[in-house]
Amino acid sequence: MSDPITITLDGRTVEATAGEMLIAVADREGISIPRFCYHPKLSVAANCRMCLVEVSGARGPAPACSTPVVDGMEVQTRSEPARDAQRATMEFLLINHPLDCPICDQGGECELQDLALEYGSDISRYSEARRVVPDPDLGSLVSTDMTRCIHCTRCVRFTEEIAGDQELGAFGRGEFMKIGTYVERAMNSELSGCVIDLCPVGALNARPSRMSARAWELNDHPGIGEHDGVGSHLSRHTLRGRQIRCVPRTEETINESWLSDRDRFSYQAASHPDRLCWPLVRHRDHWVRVSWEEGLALAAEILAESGTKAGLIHPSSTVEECFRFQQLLRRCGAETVEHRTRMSDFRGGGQYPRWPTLGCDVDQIAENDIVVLMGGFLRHDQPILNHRLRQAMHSGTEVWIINPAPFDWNFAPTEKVVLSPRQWLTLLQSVERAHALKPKEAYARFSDRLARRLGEADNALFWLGPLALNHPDASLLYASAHNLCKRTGTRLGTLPEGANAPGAWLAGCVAHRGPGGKAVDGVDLPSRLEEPPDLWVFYGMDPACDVTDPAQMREALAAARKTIGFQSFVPDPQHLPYDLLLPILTVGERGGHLINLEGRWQSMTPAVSPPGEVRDGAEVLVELLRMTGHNPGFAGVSLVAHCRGLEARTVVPDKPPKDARRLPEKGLLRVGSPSIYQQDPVTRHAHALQQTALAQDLALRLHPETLNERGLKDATHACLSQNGSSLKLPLVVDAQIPRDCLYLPTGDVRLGLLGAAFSVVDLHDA
Amino acid sequence: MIENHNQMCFATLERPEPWSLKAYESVGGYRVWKKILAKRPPRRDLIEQIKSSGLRGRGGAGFPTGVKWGFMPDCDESYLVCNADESEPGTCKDRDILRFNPHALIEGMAIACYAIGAGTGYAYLREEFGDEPYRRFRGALREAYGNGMLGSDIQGSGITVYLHDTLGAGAYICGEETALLESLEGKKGFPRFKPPFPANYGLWGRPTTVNNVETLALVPGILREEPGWQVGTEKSRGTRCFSVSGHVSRPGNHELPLGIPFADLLELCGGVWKDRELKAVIPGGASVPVLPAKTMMGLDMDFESLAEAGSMLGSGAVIVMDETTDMVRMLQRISRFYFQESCGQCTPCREGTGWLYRVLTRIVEGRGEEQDLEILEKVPGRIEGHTICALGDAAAWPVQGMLRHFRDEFEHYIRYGKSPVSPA
Amino acid sequence: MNDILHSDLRGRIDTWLERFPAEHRRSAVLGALREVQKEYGHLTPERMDAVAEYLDLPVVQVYEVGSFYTGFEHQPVGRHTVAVCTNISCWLRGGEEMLTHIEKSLGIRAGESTRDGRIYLKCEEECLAGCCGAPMMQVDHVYHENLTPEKADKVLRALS
Repeated sequence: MSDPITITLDGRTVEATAGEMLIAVADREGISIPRFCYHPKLSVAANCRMCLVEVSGARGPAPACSTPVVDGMEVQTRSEPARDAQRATMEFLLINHPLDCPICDQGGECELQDLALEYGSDISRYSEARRVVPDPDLGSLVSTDMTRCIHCTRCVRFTEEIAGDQELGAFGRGEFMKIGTYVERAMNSELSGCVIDLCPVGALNARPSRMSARAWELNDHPGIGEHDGVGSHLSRHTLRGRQIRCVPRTEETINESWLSDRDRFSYQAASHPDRLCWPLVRHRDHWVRVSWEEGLALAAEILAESGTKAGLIHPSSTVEECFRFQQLLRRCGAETVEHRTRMSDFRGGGQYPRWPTLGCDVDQIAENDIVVLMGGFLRHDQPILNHRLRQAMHSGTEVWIINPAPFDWNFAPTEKVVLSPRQWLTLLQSVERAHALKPKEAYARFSDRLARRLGEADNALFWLGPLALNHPDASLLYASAHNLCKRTGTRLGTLPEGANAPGAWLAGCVAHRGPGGKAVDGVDLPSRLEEPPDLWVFYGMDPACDVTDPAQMREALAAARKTIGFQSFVPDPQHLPYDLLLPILTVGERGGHLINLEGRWQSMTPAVSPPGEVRDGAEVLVELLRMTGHNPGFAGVSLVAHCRGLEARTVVPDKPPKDARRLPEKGLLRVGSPSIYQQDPVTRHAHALQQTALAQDLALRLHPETLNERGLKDATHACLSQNGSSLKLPLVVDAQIPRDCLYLPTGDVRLGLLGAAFSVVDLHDA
Repeated sequence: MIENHNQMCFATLERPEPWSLKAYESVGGYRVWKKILAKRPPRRDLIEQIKSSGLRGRGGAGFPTGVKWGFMPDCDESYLVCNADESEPGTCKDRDILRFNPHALIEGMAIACYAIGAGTGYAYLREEFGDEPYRRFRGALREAYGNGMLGSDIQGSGITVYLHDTLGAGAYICGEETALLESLEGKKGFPRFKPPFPANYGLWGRPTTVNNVETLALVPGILREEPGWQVGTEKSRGTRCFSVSGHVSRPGNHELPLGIPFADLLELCGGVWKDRELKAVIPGGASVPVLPAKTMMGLDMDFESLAEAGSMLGSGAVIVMDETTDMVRMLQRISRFYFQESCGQCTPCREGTGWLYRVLTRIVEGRGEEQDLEILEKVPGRIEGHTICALGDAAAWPVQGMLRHFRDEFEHYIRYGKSPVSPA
Repeated sequence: MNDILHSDLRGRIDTWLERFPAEHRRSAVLGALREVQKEYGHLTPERMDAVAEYLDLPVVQVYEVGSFYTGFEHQPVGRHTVAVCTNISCWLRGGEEMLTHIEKSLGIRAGESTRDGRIYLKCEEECLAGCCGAPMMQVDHVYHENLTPEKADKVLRALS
């Protein structure tokens, strides 16, 4: 397949590789052949018959998408026979396609419309009745106008081949074939929006932006995904200063041409009715709008007056925001500056490297012989990373997964073990021991098998996911994994939450490390919660959801004297006693830099201006620095230059801790991580995302015996009690969940003050 | 009496219980297979024998069977598939082979498996054969296993051949070999684009040979060097099962030497019924172009003669039409069939077959317009050769054939809103 | 799933599975759907879901197959399926007239079932390969060839 050959393409002599499809060669040479069903990322279907070309010697026109090139082949893509065949297909495509382009969202960017201009006839010869197809409801994200469908099956192939869960199919046959779900149901994939991009006509469109703009009116603003450490490239499309929609921007090394629904539809949060548009001051149980002058003056006053201070910032904040945040807080004497707001084990902080990384680039995952993931569900945590891992798996990489719940993976991992988090540390230690002993016997035990594979593999990668990083013994797990990796020649990567965790580390939003990883004397978050400060400052994170233990946070807030929030959304004043709220930018409005988990700096510019009096948080922080009598130093680009310079600083990790385990040894353990649309305040305010089943489903998953033991056999609901708070929740029985655990996602406002994950809980009759 | 009548596939017809192992063995059945089991000849030798026998595929396309077998690479896992999805309108010969001589098919499949190096063969019968033909074939399979003709290490020969029966579920398109493979894989019958061909990428992606029932049932007799095979013309060797249907006095399946004059075949079936005149013949199943009486009466029934006359031998279905036949309605019925059976995969066939059917329906209902003739002339050419499989061609050719020879009937319908043919 | 695919039915599906290599469970989907239809008379999404679960397939793949082949019914139909061939060989020898006659004597149109649930008159588009015995019909896949109206009526009357 790799022999170089030459073919003649429209009279040009062109080099190609034997076996390549003609259309790929033509694309590379800039010769455009019309097509609908062909997509370079999907399998070849050859069903639309639009790419028919003339191949000398062939009996008839040949489809360029499924004709492999051979040496000496002569191809005409625009000869009269070729164009005749292409025009013939266009005539057939148009006979049943409605002429509703003026009211179709695809109008102006429609592949059928574009090609019809060139290949279509002015007058249709078709005078029979036209096909009308009912529109199935595919949920809140994808709209359907199936009469427009041309049956190219790109969407069907996408769900099967890329999304990994064939949600769409082509049902029936012939002229009556229909694309859909057969039994009406919403799409459930975390990548479902990609079918909108793939659809060459207006059959599948973005439901949130339905009928809200014409394609040619939209301005295109390149941007970066703001919800996970992948940093997908995307384009925000705006009209008269409003975000209308978001589409992927092809970046082969990161997201290819895909985009997660979270990155695609989160823009709706910017226009949420609860958007914080003005500085607000709390008066008893209601908000009072104040001017920025008043708001800033009050903030400066609070900062000056308060004694102990703690500042928590969301890990999706930009490098600029992170740097200014820690600068202001530290200059004002804060002992606690932290972005790892869901982490609970801060021991041995010195063992961590300068910043967290994947251990390889996103497009290098498939180069590994084996990838081991402990404690994470990538479909929810980093959807595009999950796609890459699935892709790697299909190209031969072994994927081994250790989790507290089976999770709904869209591929079959090489090995998957569902293990109580109580045993994770022991497992890592046994793998390390097995590696040292090199057992010759049958590799019956998971740990032996894993040790052997890690030892054998030339390229091995070990990932600690959010569930491991937020584990009460995370420091011990990290130390043990680190040891194992060192001994087996495995690279160790971590998958923290947020779009800029590496940036937050670099800028110094870590209790024990300042900018560039410089060690500082700080008070870590758990100690701060035990002994609440005078002042809490929250930046872009919601203390009701984005923390380890909402109940404990609530108490710590009540105990503090003052609370300032730099926020984009108005919280309920009764529940969150902020004294002052300052409105900051949110998704699509922010400029600045994000560093993804490869360590790649990516810059964003604002796509729209914010509503009301919302300001750039980084600028507000600078102003507050001045108002509190501090010199903010560098301005603009030079801050970035400074931060980039910090990258060069060497961080020498300390020895790992040798502490005791903290995870309670007995009792029913509640385990969980935020589900896909509960991971940050922006997503929680994205309307269409919140309507999906992925956002709405909230249930306790547990082993049937766990229920039986409590006399709850056959129960559909149960009460979960923790910290004196209790909540009735639906039950999902799953015999794969370890007997000593139950799985319940976190970060969900509906959980109220239930307390922390990885704690012992009680379950009883609802 | 015609010589060489029913000597190969239908050799057991005159015996009691012609479908039984006993009947089959009485005509020399399983001799070849037993010899192979005993001697294990090089598989390429068998392929050479089939090549030199001149056997061409009996499904419709007429591809040389030995050449097809020769494409099969040596590999660990490959398959034989017998296409028993007989559904080309007018064709009913495979059904009778399954009913009356299933062992010939089984021996043919076993030999073919050996020759192509496959350990497993599947016979895919259309669902509508689910009663008698399926029972007979299944019964024969059981007999063959019971008598140690199939299985692993058969009679200590070291040869392993497993044959299985399977059923479709109602789809004409599954007669197309790659659609059949998809169906065997448990999918919709969507034909695959080629290349790759089944010999490289067939059932479950493994090298696969797909042969028609009649083709495989002929193999044992050919290898036994039956005199019945030493007939036919130079390029159309051997016999052919003709299903003669329509307006003849005695419709029936007849296995006859290729190259037999159509006039003789017609006579064998008692001539045109009711003492009527012959009007036209579809000589190879509904997909092939119709030929007028004058042409047919001078034609021999072999691959070349029919191709020269502008039609095809196809599946061997000879559909005879007398002078009272309304060719426009006939075409409307054919078009309805292709419209209903188009799988929907390729644009031209999905959209074009319905278009043709609707135009023809309008014409038949007296609502034809002058420009409809242009559509009937141009649209089939825009489907033909533009689709993944030959169903597009099959939908186009009958229209083109009818228009070529009976254009005046269409014009009459359009002008007067009614048939030019007086009803019988 | 077990409610729909009871053990006997699973056993019948297993006979289809046995024909194929273990890793190709999907190949048994046509056989499984035929068995389910034989058991219940017609397919429903729930029944197809049960097949999907048993064969470990995405439901969509089973729906695709269920909706593609005309042998599968999706509405309740009569106990006996009668298919009258009207394709060209039969058409030339009175197949359509035969269908009309049967429609009249059963009092239903093609595609409908008799009220007593006895007979389902299938809308048959395909040639049933009984061309030399035209006109013909199938009753539960049993061939009745060289039909006359009287012969057809007799066959239909005998159905219980």
